[in-house]
Amino acid sequence: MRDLTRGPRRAAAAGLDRAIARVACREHRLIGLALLRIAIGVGTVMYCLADYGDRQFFWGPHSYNSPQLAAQAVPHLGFSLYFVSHSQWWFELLFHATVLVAAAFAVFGGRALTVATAVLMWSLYYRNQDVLEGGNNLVEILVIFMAFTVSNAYFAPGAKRRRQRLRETAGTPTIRTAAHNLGTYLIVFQTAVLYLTAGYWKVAGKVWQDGVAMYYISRVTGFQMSTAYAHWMSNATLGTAVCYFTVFVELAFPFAIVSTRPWVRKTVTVSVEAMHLGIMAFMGLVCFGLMMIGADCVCLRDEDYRAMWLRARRLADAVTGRLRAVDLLPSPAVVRLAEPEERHA
Amino acid sequence: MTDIPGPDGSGGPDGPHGPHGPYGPRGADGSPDSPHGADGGPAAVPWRVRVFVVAALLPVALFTAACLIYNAPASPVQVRLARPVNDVMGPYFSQDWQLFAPTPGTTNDLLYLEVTMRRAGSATAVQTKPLEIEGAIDRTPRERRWNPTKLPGVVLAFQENAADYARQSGQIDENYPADERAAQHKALLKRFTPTFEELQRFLSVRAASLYPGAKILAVRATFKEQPIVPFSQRYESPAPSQPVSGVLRTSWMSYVPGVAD
Repeated sequence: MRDLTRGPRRAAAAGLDRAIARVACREHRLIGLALLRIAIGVGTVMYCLADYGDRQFFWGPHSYNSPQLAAQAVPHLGFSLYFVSHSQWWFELLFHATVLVAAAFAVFGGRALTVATAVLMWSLYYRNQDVLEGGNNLVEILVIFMAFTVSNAYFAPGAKRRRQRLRETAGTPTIRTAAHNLGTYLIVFQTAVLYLTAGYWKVAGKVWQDGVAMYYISRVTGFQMSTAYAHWMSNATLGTAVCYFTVFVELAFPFAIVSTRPWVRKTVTVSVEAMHLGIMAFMGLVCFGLMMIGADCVCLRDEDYRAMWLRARRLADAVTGRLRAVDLLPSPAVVRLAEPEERHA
Repeated sequence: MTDIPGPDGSGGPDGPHGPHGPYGPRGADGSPDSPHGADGGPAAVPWRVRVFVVAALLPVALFTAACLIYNAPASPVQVRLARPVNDVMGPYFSQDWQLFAPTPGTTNDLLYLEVTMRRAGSATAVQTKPLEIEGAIDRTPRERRWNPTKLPGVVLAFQENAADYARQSGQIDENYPADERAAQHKALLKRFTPTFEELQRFLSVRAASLYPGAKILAVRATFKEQPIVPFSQRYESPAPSQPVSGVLRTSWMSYVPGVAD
C-alpha cells in the first residue's frame, strides 16, 4: 500500500533502493554459471588438444597462416599474445599455458582464472581465425561478462565454504553482488539474442520453410560425420520435423527463459541442449556444441536445477527400489531347482 | 563435487531453504528475490552500491540496445545507427548468428591443386594434373569423432575468400567503365593479398606432403563447386550427375619452403 506520509521523491528513492537491493542482495544463477565455467574450460582444452599434434601447422611461428599474415586480420583494438614474439619457445609457452589455465579454470574457477582464460583464449582465436566456429564467437563474449560473476560457487573445490560465505552476506547489498547479477544478466541476454537471431534467419529462409534445410546440411561434406544421418535426413517427414523443431526451439528460447512457468523454461532449454548434442554427434562440431550447452545452462535458474535434481533422485530411487524388489523375489528357475531338494527332505 | 542438496532440502549445503534459492530464505512476501532488512522493510542500500548500480546500468543498457540493433535484419534504422553501434560492439562483441541460415549451403566445394616440380634425379620440370584435395581434408574429422580436427575449417575459409574475391571481381567488370577496371582489379587484389599468401603457404605444404622427395617449384589452386543433388531428385536412380563449375583459378604461385606440416 502506498505510504502517504512520504513525499513522491522519498517514495521514488525508496523504489529505487528496492530495485537496487533486488540486484545487489543475492547472487543468482550460480549453478548455471558453474556449468558454463566447466563447459568453457573443457571446451578450450578440447579445442587445443583436437589438433595438438598439428599445433605448429595451425598456430606455430611457421604456420601456413604466418604471424605476419594473421596480425593483418586482427581488427582495430584486437590483440593476441602470440604476436608479441615469433619465437618457438614463446609459442610453446603460450599454447601450453592456454591448456593448463583452461583446465584450472574448469576445475577451480574464480575471477583471476577467468581473466587469464579470457586473455589466452582471445589470443589463440586471433592467432588463426580460419578455424573458429560459432561457439568460439559466443564464448569470446561471455567470458568477458563472466569476469564479473561468481562462477565457482558450485562444482569446485571449496564451493561449499564459498556458498556459506555468500549465505552470511545475503540480504546486505554489495557492489560485488550487483556486478555478479549484471554480468549474469548480460550472459543470459546475449544467449537469448543468439537464438532469436538464429531463429529469425532460419524462419526467413525458404529452404527452412520448405523443411529441406537439414537434407542439404547433412550433405555438406565438411560437416558430414555420419552417412546414417544423411540417410535419415532424406526422409521428408523426419527432415521436416527436425527443421521445424530447430526453428521452433530457437525462436521460443528467448521467451521461454523469462517464463514464470518452470516447465516451459526447462522443456525449451533441454530441447535446445538436445539439439546441440545432435550437432556434436552428427556434424562433428563438438566444441561448438559444448560451449552452446554451457551458455544454455545459465538460462535456467538455480531452483530449476534443484527441482530437476529432486526429480532425478526420486526417479533413481524408484528404479532402484523396483530393481531391489525384483531381486528379493525368487525366480521361477530357483523355485524349480529347490523343489526336488525339498521333496527329498 | 556434485553437492546439490538432497530431496528434503536439508541435507545439502544450502540449509533448510534448499529449493527456494541458491542459499537464502524466502522474503517476507514469499518471493525469493525480495531483500529485507531486520525490521522487515527494504534493506538499507549503501550509497556506494547505489552509485555503482546506477553507473553500471548505463553500459549494460548501452550493450543491450547496441546488441539488439547489431543483430537486427537490415533496415533504414539499422543503417542510420550502424556506426555508433559498431563502435560499441567491435571488436570484442562482434558476432554473427546466421548459423546455416537463411540458406544453408546447397553446393559442395572442391579445391584442385596443380604442382610444377622436378622429380628426384630429374632435371625436367613437370606439371601435375589437377588433384582434388578437399574431399580428403573434409573426411579427416571422422578419424577422431569425439574431438575432431579443425582442418576442414581452413579450406572452408579459403573457399569463402575465393568466392568473395570472384564475386567482387565480377562486380567490377559489371559496374565500372573499361578504363577504370584495371585499377579496381589491382586494388581488389591488394586487399586479398594476405589471403592469397596464406593460400600459397598452405598449398606449398600440401604439395610437399603429396610429392615427397620432389623439388616443388610452383603451385596453383582452382576453386570449383558442385551442387548437392536436389531434395526432389534424391531417390532417382542412377543418381543425377551434378555439373562441376569453376569459381576461381589462381595464377602460379612460387613454392614457399619451411612451412610447418
